[in-house]
Amino acid sequence: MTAMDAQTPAIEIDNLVRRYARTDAVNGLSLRVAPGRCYGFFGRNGAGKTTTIKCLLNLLRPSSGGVKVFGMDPRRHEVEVKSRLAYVPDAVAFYPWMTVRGTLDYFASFRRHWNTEMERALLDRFRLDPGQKASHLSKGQRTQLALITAICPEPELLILDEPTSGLDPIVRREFIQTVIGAYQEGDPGRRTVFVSTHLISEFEGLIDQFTIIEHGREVLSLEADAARERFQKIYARFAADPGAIDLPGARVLRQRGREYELMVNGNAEDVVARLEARSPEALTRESLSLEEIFVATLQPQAVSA
Amino acid sequence: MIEKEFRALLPVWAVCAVALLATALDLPMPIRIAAAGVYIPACATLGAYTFGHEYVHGTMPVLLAQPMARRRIFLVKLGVLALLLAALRALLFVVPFPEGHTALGSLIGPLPILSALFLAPWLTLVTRTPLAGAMFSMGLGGIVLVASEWLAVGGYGFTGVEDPFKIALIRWTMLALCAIGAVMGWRTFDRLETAGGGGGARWDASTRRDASLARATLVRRSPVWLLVGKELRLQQITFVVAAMFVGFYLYFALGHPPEVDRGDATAMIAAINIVVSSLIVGSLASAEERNLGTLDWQLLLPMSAARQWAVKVTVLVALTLFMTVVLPFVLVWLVPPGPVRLDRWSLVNPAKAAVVAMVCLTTSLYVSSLVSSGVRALITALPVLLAAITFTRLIGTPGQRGLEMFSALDLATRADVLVSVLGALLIGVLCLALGNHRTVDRSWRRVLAQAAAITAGLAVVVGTAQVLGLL
Repeated sequence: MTAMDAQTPAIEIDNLVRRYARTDAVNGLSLRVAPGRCYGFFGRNGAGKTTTIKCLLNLLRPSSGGVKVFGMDPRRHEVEVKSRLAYVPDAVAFYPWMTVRGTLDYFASFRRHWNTEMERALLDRFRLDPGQKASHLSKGQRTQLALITAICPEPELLILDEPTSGLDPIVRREFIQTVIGAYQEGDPGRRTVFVSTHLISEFEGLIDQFTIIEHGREVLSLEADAARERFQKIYARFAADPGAIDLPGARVLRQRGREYELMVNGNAEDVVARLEARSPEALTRESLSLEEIFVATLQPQAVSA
Repeated sequence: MIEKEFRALLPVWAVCAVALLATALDLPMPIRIAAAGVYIPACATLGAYTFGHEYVHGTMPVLLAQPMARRRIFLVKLGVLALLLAALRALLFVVPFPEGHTALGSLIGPLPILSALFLAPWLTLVTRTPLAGAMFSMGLGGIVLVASEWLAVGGYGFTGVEDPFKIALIRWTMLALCAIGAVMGWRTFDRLETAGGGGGARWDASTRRDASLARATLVRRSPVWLLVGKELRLQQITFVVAAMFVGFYLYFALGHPPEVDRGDATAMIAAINIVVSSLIVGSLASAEERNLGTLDWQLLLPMSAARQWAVKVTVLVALTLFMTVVLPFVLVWLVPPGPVRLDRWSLVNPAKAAVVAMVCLTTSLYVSSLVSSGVRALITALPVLLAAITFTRLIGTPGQRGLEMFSALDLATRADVLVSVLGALLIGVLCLALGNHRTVDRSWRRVLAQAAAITAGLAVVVGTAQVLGLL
């Protein structure tokens, strides 16, 4: 990897707009994904995640704005871009006449590089029968096969659109922690994962950075660690009812007698200092999970104590 | 439920009705006959689409999960189908259809309806794809026709097309088949399983586990040949149509003694084959990949979409030319249909056949690039083709002399010029189809802009034909 490559973002979205008739599916979205990162792309159903991904993959043309993959326009440098990425869609399908083996051969024939050892290991791990017809695979098995076809070429960029929705919890955990983790660790600093998912908690340990979108617009973009630092839940218990406490910027999740439970967004130190001034019996603080941050961002009133 | 069934079948019915009504327009005779011939496939398509639309839209599991008895669902579906078929049958009274003039013609009205009601739904449920259901139900009718002819001629000798024994054999065999189809259709639906989610298993000649491919080692092949193989696999139904064409040809070529003129019949079969085969080939090409759900990742394989499209178009053109030009003439060469008078049907002249086939192929491929299943592409392509022909008839003035400056050119040179202009239009349409194939954008604005461009191109072709004096 050259110094130039190391500086070039794997994904660069600049003020992307994509309209369907009168609806703006994506409305002025901008983000940059540095190489080697695992980037979460979160949003509710219909927020514009899949549309953004399709624009990235040149399956949809932006109405305005631009997208670049590895610094290249995916439309002008179609083959160069496609050679360096792999994609797992939300709805996976294969040619019904092909077997698992035939499907893998088909994909491998288009690729310069194919890790056959990894293929064998993943087939064993997922217990996929190479002689099974693709049309007879279950939804989860099709997803597993799609993941193998995406990972074995060892692409620089893995784009996953709801990749684990059809997997059972055991395979899902194994896939996320072992397969995706091992994939990135195979060439750290170079292999990038861009994942759109609702199962945010499953990817908790892998996500380095994320963007939350709503109605096609960016609502929040943060490093995962910075987000955990910023969004915190604070619990305080006092010897006696402290009465009204002025806690600007904090949202009281629960107040029952002597107990307070609060959520803060970026002003934890100030809130903690104010609570400490009332000499609490107990004062704890913990970071919100990414899923809680997602809910707190899009629907603060839904965050439970 | 009833409203949903009407909404699902009405577009197909409307397309078929428009095609039938087109026979009343002032169109060239081969087009009018082709449009009249729509009646039989229209019935079969409606019958197949009754259950087929559930497979196309992936709604069969949801349908079966509804708190409604399967018997009731089955009866509602057949009831709506019967109403629409009756309405289609009623249209035959207002179009110049050849029904009723002959004993065989009297079967054309009711038998396709019975076949559509009982055979097509059953075969669609078995194959789980409406195109196969429609094709096999028509094929079954064709087999009965050919077998009855052979039995009649074998038993009593050739007595003309009005052979009462043959007519009775066709009628009763079809009725027996429809009765079997009714029973089996219900049994199949009653025991229907939809493992594997949305679309269920698709029709595939070899769906069992293939032990020969259960090897552990990777085998790399040429990506281009893999694409060629994939395109041919997508065209499975086309090969069924080819077999049907060969069967019908042999029926007409061998069924009658040599002294009977078979030229007209065989030429008509060949002409219908040109239109039907090329429409099917194009219709399946892009839309079926979308229907299978494989198009996105196929386009994302590291080969340019334009190159993939070039391989696709090359395979389709070769297959279409084989089906519409090579196959008919090999058949004529191997089994001459007696006193061949193919000149009566100028359409089956190899060069003209190739041009017509390419126009039909391009039209259906363009439509296929816009819709989500092969069946939809097929039932949309025909009216699009009829609309294009009607448009050329409206803006052109046949029989007029061309411009003086071109009169010095001989006919062949002027024809070459016209074919070149038409070829440029077809290439332009294929480029638009590539644009549609590679994107998920199906906005009306985009489609209307393309339609306007194609219409302008068509006007240029008609104008060229006019100034060359070839209209």
